[in-house]
Amino acid sequence: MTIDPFTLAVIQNALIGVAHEMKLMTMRAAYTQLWKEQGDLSCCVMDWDGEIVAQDPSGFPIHVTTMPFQLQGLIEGIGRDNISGGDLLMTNDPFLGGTHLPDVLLARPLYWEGELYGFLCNRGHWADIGGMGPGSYSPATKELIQEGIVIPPVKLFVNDEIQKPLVDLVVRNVRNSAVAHGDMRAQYASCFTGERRLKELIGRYGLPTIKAAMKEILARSEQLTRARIATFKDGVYHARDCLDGDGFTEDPQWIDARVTIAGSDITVDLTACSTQSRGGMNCSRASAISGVQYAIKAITDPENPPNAGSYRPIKVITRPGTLVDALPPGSMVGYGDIAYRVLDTTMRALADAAPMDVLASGSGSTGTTAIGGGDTRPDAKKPFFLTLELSSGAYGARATKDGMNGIRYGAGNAGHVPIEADEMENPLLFERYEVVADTGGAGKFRGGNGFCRVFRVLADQGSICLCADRHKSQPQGLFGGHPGTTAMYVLDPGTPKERRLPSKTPYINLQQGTLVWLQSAGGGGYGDPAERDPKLIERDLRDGYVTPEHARRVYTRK
Amino acid sequence: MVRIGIDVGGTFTDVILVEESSGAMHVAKVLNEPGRRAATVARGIRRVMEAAKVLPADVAFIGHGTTITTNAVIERKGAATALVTNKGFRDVIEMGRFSRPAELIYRVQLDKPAPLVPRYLRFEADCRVDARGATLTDLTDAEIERVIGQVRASGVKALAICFLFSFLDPTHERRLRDAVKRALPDLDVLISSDIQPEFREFPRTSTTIFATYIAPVFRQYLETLVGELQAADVANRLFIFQSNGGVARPDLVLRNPATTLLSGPAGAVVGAAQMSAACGYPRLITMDMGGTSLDVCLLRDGAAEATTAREIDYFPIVTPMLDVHTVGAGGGSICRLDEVGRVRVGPQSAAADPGPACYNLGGTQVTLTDVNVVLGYIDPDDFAGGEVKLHPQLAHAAIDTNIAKPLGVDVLQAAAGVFRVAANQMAEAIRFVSVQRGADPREFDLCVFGGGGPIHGFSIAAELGMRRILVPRNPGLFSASGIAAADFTHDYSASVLKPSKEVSGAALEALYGALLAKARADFDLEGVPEARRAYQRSVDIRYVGQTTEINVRAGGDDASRAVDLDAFIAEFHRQHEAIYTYAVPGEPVEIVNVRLRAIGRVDKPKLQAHGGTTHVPESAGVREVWFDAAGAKVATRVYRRETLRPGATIAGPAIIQELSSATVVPPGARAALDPYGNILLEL
Repeated sequence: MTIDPFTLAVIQNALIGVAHEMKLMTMRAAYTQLWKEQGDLSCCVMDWDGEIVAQDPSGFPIHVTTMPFQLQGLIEGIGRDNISGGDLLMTNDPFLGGTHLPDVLLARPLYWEGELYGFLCNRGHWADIGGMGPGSYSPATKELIQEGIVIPPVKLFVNDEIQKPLVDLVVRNVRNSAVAHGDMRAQYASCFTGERRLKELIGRYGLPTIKAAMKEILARSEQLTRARIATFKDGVYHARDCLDGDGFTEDPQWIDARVTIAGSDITVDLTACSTQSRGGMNCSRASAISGVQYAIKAITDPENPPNAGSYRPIKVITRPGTLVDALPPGSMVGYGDIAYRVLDTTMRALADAAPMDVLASGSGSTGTTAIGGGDTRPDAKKPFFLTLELSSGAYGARATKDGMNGIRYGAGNAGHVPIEADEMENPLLFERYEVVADTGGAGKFRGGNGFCRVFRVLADQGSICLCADRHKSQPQGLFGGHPGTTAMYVLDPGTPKERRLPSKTPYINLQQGTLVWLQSAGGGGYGDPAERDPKLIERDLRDGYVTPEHARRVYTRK
Repeated sequence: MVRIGIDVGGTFTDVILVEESSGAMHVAKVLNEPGRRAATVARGIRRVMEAAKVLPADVAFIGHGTTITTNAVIERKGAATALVTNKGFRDVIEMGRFSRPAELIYRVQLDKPAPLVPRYLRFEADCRVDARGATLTDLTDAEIERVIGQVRASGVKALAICFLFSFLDPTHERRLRDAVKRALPDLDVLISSDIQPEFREFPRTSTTIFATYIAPVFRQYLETLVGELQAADVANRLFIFQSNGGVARPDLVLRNPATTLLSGPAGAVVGAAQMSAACGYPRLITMDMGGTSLDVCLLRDGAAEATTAREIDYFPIVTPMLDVHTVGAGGGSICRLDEVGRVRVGPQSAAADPGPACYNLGGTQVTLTDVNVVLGYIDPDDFAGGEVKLHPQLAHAAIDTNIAKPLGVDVLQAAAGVFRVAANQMAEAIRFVSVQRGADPREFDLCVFGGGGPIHGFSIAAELGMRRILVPRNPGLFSASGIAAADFTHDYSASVLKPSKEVSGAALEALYGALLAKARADFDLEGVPEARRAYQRSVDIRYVGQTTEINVRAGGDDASRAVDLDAFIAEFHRQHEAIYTYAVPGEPVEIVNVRLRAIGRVDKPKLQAHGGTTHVPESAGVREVWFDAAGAKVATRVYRRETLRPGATIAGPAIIQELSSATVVPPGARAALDPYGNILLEL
């Protein structure tokens, strides 16, 4: 059946509204601050095939775009024929198309008069999922099982009855069970709220119209994305970039993207990526695809709400047993950094095809740094502490603009804790939190400068663990733009005790008073620095984003 | 005695004069003169005083809602401003929360707006206080001299100072400010421990910068205005309307001009709150739809929801304010098809220039106003009180070219379709506001005003399952009349940040005592009589480990009573349950801030209730109006609102036309005038 364009617009708005409302409900009812404050969860309305029709507007791309893969894994795991009305399904298994264990997916199959017409999905980053350390972060894991509890595809509800033994089993296996229980409740309650609204919508328009609208929503997004891709130059493009080590050695781990543009189709071949690493620097095929999809969505149709149609023109090929398609029992704790590099490499490969739309590489890491341990000083505020410092963020330069300084980039979007909150909660004393001059790559447009977070650890039994990247390889520039500087993770810089840490560092002990200097990589530049507008150079000098010595070196006219 | 309220709009300034004893009103609408805003306001005041034949001595009060500060920020025309932070922290304002605003996640070619203070004007002082309030590095005189040298050389007009943990120990901020004031007496200098003495450095720095950036502009405006009013002999009755819904003396507002930044939409909400209390509509969702924006606010028990944080350009402003949610949808919203034939309404707006196609000012794109003209909801010969002559054939042609022809439907169907999409979008905005605040819109009445509110109200209410729509009397003057009767309102706060077990009753009494002393001094300045003063205590509380707090009030209205911390904590658990669906009464809680709101109550103008009459309304004519239910334009009776008396009832379909808008009554609905002259539309 065809659907009139006004009804289509109304239904699309309403479906996005359902996803948005689910997210707000979950944020309200959640226990963990990660959700209440930062909204580190995403909600989607899926069609009967499990494709995304609508997502909440603030969803993190890496959560959302991996969701359909994990939903497929969930459906296959349970068996499509075994699913019925009154079920609510759950899994967190990254090998079924997830990201990492703390991201737990709940899915409610939707029925109308016995017909399955869609799914409501809520995927949240749990504050803890068990495993080796609080917050379930350690790059030293070799197997998934060390990261926490693995929940295979299961039915959390049968006939709308909660399966209490299952709930008990799961929450008993994570730290702070009460929080986990409350969060899980918030997640499933939102699915029921969303379902009520969908029923009202069906009551008003009828299921055939809703289904026609769902199909049409995807078709229009696909049509638009294809129209944009068709403007890119056909051809085969190639780029490679690397990650600095796997947690055991510092040898490069390669991401290799061969991109073919033919008419309105893009194929990204990642089969030449390095073999799966021994440590946690791996990701699922779904996470890799998420990196590719973010890159292409951002340069084709950034204005419109994303859905599965936006990604139909994109085909991604991976080889099982590589960094980007890890096989059991491998660990995937560093999935975020792998996804970053896939994004960088895809973007870079597309540079010649869409030179006005791409960005040079950004700082390219999550910069995840865990600081924690014991504090037995007499005036200690608490005996144990743990805080995550996200130490990477800068945009690469663009065709007509510099990159932004000191800001999150890519498919994730977690923020920083205020310095004052950090110091009140944790035994840290900050000395700097600032943009670092000369770190962005020079170019006609300059890469964004990185930033540093510098603090003393006041506790007497502190330790540090890094699960980040870019301490050896630089974010690349484009079209003659220079690379950004590497990231730095240094203890007691400028003293005899100075010690540079690799970006993958399992927990090591810190002496009381150690100064920790975390510094983001800078973004790559775009275009020949000799072509930079002198006014922009002046402005950068005035603002101290570039020092005079550096400017003399990189912006000398030929 | 009379009260005067002033509401500065985009094109006109509304000045309303209310006689306190009778409630009788006089109105002046003056065209804004760009660059001569103070003169415009003064002219409006003189004109309304002449019309009402009142003498300067009769004027008890002039309440002034102003957009001077907001415009200075939006147009970035404030003063050249510098910032001083601790050494190593000058980029806090640039990096902000570090995450991207949701709108920028995929839009990689867009930049977050730059801070109001560029980096070369951000100076650093070597000094530091720690999280316990202890001084780690003292601010030396030599360091002060060095910083003053930098500020002097920069040539700025204003200076913001924000040091870490200044809410625990403001000494460094104060010493630097005092030294700067001595060395550079013409500079506006504001410190964060005065502006917002609460923890979290980014919002505090941001708020302080906003306040500083607009201070010189606002000061100059006030000086000009006071000069003009002195000529009329009413200068000392001038009070400024703030975002918290109350007024204060100009010199008090100048201590923190950021309190005015979001006052624009608050005036109408105060008007709605006054109506809600006086006319017996306890639960309202207000919807104010103008040319470019739609403002939504929730009122329970006659009081508007409050908040302490809003953003402009993604920079936070933390000050107590009415919780008005604004979305970009208004009469000027552009309606179009995108490149794959999808119907889009907004967020782009044609604004006033070129404006809707039917303005005949060169606009060729379809706006909601054009849609409403074609559907018959707007009378082209009676728009904005006849100020603007509309050309329906241009609206028709624009819809035909841009929407109807490409879709292969007729112009009316296209217009009706767009109207439906717009209603759905606006309903989503209201649903968003309600859900976020734990409210079900079906339990509220929809109160509509602004040019577009009464037109779209029926359709939006239907989307949300709301049954009753209220169109207040004189909706176009709602804001000005609200401001004319606004209470004096001052907010004070102090940071505590301790587990409740470590907070003694005596310590709290001391904190409140200090805040109360400030409040009394301010009321004395304003001449608020003792009997009119009220003080509301509230406390920001959270569970230990949480990062957001809830502001709770309990048994604190009587400042003479002892502070009962347990009552606040009990109320916190109750509200936590209401807002977040659960509470954990056994968990330890933390006291974050104490707040004192000081209110100088003002008598509200009398509202005369009129008993039901057997008044049978007479229609002023008939026009062709589209209704979805009919699937066509139907002959619809038009009534002039000013001819209706309380008790009048009108069955839909009908249009009730008034100066600033038109209420659309769909078939099957019933409109009636309540005893106070408000239209109550029941679907």
